[in-house]
Amino acid sequence: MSRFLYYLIFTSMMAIITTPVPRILLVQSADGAIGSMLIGTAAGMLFMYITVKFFIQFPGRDLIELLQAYTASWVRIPVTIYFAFIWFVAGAITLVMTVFLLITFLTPEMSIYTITLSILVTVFFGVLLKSKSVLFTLEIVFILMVPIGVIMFFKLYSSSELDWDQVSLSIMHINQMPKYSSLVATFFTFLGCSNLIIFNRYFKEKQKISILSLVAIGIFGVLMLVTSYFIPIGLSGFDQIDQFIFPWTSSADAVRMKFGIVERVVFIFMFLFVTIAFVSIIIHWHVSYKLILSIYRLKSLQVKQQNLTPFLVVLVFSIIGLWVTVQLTQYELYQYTKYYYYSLPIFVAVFFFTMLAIKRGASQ
Amino acid sequence: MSSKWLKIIILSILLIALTSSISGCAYKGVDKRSFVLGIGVDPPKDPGNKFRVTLKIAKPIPSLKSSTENEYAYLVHESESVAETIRFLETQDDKVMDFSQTKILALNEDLLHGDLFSLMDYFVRRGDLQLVLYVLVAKPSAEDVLRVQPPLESAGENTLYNYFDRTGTESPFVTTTFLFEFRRDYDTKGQSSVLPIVEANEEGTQFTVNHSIVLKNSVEPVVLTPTDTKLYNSLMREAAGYGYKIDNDGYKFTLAMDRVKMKYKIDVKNGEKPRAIISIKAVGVISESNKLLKLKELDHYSKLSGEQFSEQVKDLFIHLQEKNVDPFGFGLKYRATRLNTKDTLDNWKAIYPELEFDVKVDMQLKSVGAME
Repeated sequence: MSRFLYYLIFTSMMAIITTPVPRILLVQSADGAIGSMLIGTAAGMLFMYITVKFFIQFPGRDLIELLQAYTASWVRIPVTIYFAFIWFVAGAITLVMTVFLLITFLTPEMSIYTITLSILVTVFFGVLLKSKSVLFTLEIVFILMVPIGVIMFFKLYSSSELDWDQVSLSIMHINQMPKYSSLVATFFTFLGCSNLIIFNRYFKEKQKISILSLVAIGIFGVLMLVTSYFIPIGLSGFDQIDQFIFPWTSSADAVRMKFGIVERVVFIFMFLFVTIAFVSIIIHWHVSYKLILSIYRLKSLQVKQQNLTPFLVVLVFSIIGLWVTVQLTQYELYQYTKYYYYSLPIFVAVFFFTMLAIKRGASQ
Repeated sequence: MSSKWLKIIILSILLIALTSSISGCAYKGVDKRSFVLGIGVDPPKDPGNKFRVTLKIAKPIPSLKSSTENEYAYLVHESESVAETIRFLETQDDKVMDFSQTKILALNEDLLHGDLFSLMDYFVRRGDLQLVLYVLVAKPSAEDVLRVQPPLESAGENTLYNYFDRTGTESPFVTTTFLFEFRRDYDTKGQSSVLPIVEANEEGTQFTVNHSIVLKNSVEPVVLTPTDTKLYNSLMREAAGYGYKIDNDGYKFTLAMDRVKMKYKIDVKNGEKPRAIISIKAVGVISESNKLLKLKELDHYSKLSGEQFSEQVKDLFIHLQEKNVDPFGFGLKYRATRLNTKDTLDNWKAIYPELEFDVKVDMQLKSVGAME
């Protein structure tokens, strides 16, 4: 497997910390979260295996191309629009969550417009990059952030304030029925590979998916889940963890570096995860934007050789993003995100249906 | 050529437009902020109000060379709630109050009866307050403790910080409790939180930090003596140091501990009394004795000390059990070692008053000091 595919998968796993996933899991901590996480992980790994296996058969061709070649347009257009919508919402959730995080912990007096705009400006240009450049951006961010991430995780796990009794208390609640919302939230963690629908164009060489790489991805995913679930419990206590709106940030604030550059680890944490969130928004919206462009390009926006439709699409994305961020309350964010996660099985069904259709078309 | 220029022009317009957003942002320079170092909460003097809040604000010093001591401003106000008081106090300050550097939260002892929810709510709800700030109980009042200016405090440092962050004094008598820890232990069923008690002397020049207080919403606070505080700190917080008195078999030692480690489990068998099996490993040296000591009898001294130490520990456990508080988290341990059912908590509530403590101390004295 190409290293870029690992980056795509790992980034979406790391980005869950700036989505409502940890809170959804922690709210059900006494109510079957651990069982759901186990099932969700298995389902996610299966989904990943099938998806990667499918795209390996078509090296260098993305979903748009495959749909155009092998399916009728009554399949192609609705599926593309649906996927574009799903990917746009995934990016928007991360955007809103990141803004809420910044406004609560970093700059409570700053205007929400300023914060959102400052994120959107970067994202705007990031989305407009070529797919290949997006992958390179991803690689650079990943390599720069890994050392910080390692320090951060070392600090979290070695901190003497981490109460392992609380962690083991949460494990003792394993004997509960798994719940649907935790299950789909866990499943969402493993969806990074579905970005292949666009990025497969750049994986030109024939690839193999080995047991070793599956194990590596599985371990990384479980580690991220375990960290995002047990660290807040160990630091903030099991009995009232569901009261926290941002369980992760509040818990990272509990760790300090006595002799470090900054005493409060929470700032390193914010730096790390806001950066990851940026890349995550860029990837999601990039996929969405490519899908939309594959259906329609406005002829009237043709200025000389340059068609301005891409700018228009991303501008519309940004405006909707800004509008949603300003409108939503925290409660609505969590509620709508839950509905979004609830609908993931439909997404999986459509995804597999499309793959089947393409396969049939290709074999004929 | 022209498209290149077009790009440059668009980019410069964008950059110029962006600068306007910077000026409007909330970032205020350091000279427009006043940093709150400590917050103190007392009962009100006027019975119509609920809290009396004191803010300790640092006055900037031009440089460390030109100043010999710190200068602070104190703002005090009483009202219905903590948030309301702080909002009022903001009108008495010409700069924006910055709570991100706040490290001390001093609570008056009289406020600690009953449920602390309404008192503590503001501090955990406000996102920009650190969760790693030190919570302490102030005597005679929070305001007095914040107003203390020790002669040993030099410019640019804060005495109270040094007590608690373990970079200055590292005494086993000082309990350090962070805000998140306090909240976690207070709300966890089967554990109680412990706060240090800071006493200010009458002249306002000195602190004494050697008592602590155990809090739980359902019971009255229990004040721990200096000896008990020290035991608690060495067992739970792995604090070590001088000052463990042993008086056994005619010997009077003072031990200095290097490290103390406690492990425990709760053993509940049918038909037997529930027991807590506690094993403590302690490593240390003898720092004072009433007799000449022989190096070859070190093992004997270890045994003598171990016996006495285990008795002291057991007395502390029983004392806390009688008061129905659980700062060592036996309840949490019980809940954390068996599969959860809906009766787990109720079972524990029935077990704890009956619990017997089985303390085993493995004392290892490494030396008798520089002389026999």
